[in-house]
Amino acid sequence: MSTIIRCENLSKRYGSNLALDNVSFELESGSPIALVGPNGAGKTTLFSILCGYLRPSSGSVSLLGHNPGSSELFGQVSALPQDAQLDPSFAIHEQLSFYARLQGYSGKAAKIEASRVLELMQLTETLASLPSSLSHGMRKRVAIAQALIGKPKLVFLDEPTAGLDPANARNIRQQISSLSGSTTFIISSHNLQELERLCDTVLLLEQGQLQQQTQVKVNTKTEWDFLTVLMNGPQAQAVQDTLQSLPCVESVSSKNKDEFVLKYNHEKAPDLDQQLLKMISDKGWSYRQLTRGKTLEDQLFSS
Amino acid sequence: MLSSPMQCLRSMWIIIRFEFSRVFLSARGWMYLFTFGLIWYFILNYLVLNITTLVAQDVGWPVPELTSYWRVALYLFPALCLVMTANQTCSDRSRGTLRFLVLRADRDSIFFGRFISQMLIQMVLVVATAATALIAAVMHDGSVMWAGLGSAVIIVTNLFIALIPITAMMSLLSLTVNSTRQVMVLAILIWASASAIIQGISHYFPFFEVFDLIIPGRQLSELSGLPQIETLSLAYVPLLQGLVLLVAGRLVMQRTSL
Repeated sequence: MSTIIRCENLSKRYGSNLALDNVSFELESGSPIALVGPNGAGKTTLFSILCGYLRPSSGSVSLLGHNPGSSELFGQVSALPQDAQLDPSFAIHEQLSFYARLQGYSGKAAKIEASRVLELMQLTETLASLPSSLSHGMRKRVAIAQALIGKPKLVFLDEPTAGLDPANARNIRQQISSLSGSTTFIISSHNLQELERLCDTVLLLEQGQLQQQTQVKVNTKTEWDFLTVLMNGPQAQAVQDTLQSLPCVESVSSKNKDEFVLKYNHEKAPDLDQQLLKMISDKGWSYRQLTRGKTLEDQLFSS
Repeated sequence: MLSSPMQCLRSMWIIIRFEFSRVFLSARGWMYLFTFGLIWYFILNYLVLNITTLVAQDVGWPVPELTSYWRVALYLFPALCLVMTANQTCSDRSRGTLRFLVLRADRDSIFFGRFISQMLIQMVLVVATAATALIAAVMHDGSVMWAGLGSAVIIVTNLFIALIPITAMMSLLSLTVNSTRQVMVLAILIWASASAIIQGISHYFPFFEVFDLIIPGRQLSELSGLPQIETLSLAYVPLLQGLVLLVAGRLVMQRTSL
């Protein structure tokens, strides 16, 4: 693994509004990285600076050791920018071939590459279509396809599945997963469940400041661990009392009537998850989901 | 990996070809060309060839048909330039398409690639229209073939040079507003107000007239009165204007947010 992005004291000011406030972080290549935060937190501004669309007001940033927008990054860094649309005058395949040629492909190879990425996004039937004849979701998939041209080392995806139907959103998640060995994806999204499945590292931006840089992966080296169980049916109070009675459980909290988070001593009860499943079975209850650790939402937003 | 200047030239060439295909290989482009051809047919028949007798006595212009073509084209193409070249980057910028491009080509390639392609597209139209005027002249009098060809080359060269600063001005303005219409309105406003201000101030301070030279196209009225052989003597004005506007445009392109 190597450092893929380095930001130091990055700030961006729009007039009197401070969109990014002294943000510093370092990210390594590898698994997808999530960028989360409420609307107006500065996610798109950060993406725009990283892609070279905007200049920071102060601070420094480097991608793969180069300044954003420098020619050394052509073909190595690509993006799905928020709300960007293709040229309405040209067919999809023609435009993607044009982008591939700019990335160094010859005429014929560019056409093959454009077809390949459109096929990845299940858009082979739209090769000759103009962008205006496509639905919003299809246009978004074409925009994601353009980000996959060549073999980029780093891909920024701003809300990649927003507005897509579940089947296509799933396909995009699958593509990200399958490509994430050779490509590092930085994904901005409000869909925390999606990010939880895809990403190992999460950056939380709030009011232009980096609040957290956390790992989603379960940390088995710590004494305390968490189990999140989503029940199906039984009385919440009865479940909570029973869970609390399990050995080595420190506390049980309930976010809503069906979802419970158990904090327990992992060293003393490493097989608590199996005990929990057995208990649910013995009680004749049913559950919908059992997750090791806290959900991303709880990690980021619970106090 | 290509070195940076080579990569820049390669990207520029790809962008120029793409812009050419927008005009010459697309259905919409063909529609524009057909419309232009139709309008030019009427201009040639009812204007250029009709005023031939009026300009026949002009000193230093051997072929009347090309003389009248020169008089018409000198104002037609700069005016057409305002419409044709207004949308160099504004739509792509407001739509976000430039964001896809700048991840693959440097801003210089995009800016100069678009400028050069607009110049070349206009040249195709200039050469085509000059050729029709030359053919009309030769059909009328076959002996003017070589003299007419010489005139046509000088006219095309002059028009090419005259269009440089206007196209460069549109390149610059296209970076500052969000729609083609706004670019055209801004160009006309700047043109008209700068002329009026300079004229007004020059009335009281005659030395101020020298600033007239900063307005693209100001040499056109002088050009139309010059004999053929002297027309290139004013070429330095549009060339300098074009250089200044392109440098300014490049600076704006480098700094503009996308």
